[in-house]
Amino acid sequence: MKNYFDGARFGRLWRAHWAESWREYAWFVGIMAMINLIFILISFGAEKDKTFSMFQFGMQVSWYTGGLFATAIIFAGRYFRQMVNPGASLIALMRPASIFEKWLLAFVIISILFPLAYTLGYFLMNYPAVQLAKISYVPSALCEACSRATPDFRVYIPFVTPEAGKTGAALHSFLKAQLFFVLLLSASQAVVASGTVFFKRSPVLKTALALFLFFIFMALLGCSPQLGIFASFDDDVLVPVGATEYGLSIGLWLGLPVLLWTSLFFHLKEREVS
Amino acid sequence: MRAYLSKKGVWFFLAAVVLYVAGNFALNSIYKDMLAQAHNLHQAQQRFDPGGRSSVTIHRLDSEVDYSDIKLIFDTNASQVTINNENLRLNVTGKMDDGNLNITLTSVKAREYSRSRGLIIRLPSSVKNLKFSNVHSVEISGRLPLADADLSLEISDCEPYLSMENFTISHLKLTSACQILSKERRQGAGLTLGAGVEIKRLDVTMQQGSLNFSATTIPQQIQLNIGDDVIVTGQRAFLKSAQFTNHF
Repeated sequence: MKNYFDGARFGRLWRAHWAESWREYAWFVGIMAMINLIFILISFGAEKDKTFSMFQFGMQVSWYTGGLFATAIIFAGRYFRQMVNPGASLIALMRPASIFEKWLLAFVIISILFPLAYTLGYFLMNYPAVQLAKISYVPSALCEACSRATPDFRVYIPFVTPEAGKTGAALHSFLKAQLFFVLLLSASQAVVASGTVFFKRSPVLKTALALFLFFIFMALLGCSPQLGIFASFDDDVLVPVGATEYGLSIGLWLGLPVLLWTSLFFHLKEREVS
Repeated sequence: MRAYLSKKGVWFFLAAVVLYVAGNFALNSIYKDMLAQAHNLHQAQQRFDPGGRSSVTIHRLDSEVDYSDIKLIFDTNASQVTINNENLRLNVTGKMDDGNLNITLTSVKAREYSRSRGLIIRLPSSVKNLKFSNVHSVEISGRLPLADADLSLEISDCEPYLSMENFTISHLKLTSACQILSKERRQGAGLTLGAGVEIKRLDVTMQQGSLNFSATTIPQQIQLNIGDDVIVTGQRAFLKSAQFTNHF
């Protein structure tokens, strides 16, 4: 068992990784914060009717998920950046830790810590912006009496803040959508990270090209992504969701990240052997 | 190629691809089965016999009802009211009550099976009175052949917006009960008389809302009993021939 996982060894691997990468991560966070700040300033500057729709709940969800998806993919693509350089990859692969520990560290940092750090950073930057938008809000002159236009300036926190006015099954639907996003994100990160380990030369380009060709091929086959039970619907009284659909949906969308992360484990192992 | 296939990582990746393809095809197949089942359970076409001179009331029960618009088509060959509802998330019920056909729209909790969200109601020329309650966007078209054909439209709240195209009638009467603007709609109820509309006589009673006349044929007689806040849009000839009153 100790060959696979040893707490003390994993701790040393973690500290070595942190010592080596904290500057890169600090830059990454800094650039993300700058981009977010620029967008916040642009959004405030572009507000003509003072409704601040960019800071209302629906747009917050879009901005958060879009931003997380894009940055998480870039982060996953950069995690094994040393693999491109033969010397640096040798040092990384020769580090005294098992393949499982190296894989586990990658999984924890890419798929768990990065989204958590992004969420925290997003909240810290977005919260004051939303509060500022809330106090600066002026109802539209064209729609003074509109109750539909009542602004929703609640701060979006994933899996915590519900959609306004939704209860029961509708609330459940929003949670399902967020869970699906997490699974899709993890699977996408695993594909990108696997590509950067598998391809020795121009890994990012080759991974992007492989994914592009794959989706073109799928489109030609007529195979479009089916969300199954994760599709956005509150309830279906016409044809209730059956056990087969439940099983297939969970099996497919949970199975994908599991298989892809396992694939990364073996790619790492095979890279070490070669 | 052989070197790639000897790697377990590649095999796991291929397994993920197979799972993705097979899973999506299987889910798509389930979806198609469910769609077929839903269509079997859904009552798409209904017919009602309204009898002689009659009226039809269209009422949307709850705001969750999801539809794009209602198309009302007057069909001279029809003797019955025919409702064609292909929207699986919309339930339409009809009930005859003393010469009045009450059509109620309610929502059905279902996934979005199809993109068809329209509702088509074919009306015989015996229908002389149409009442709308809590519905938005209604398109009226068709032809009433009789020279003295008349049609009365009644709007019971500030929600409905009616538009007419390619519609010929002798006398059109619109009565709107919208008095205080609903919070949802700033414009209130409204009527647009668009291309191909031919009316001999037009009577409008409206306290709040909008009236848009863009038809080329100007009615011979136009009586507009409208409130101060009603917005009237029309050609010079239309406004010139209109008689304005305000009895509110």
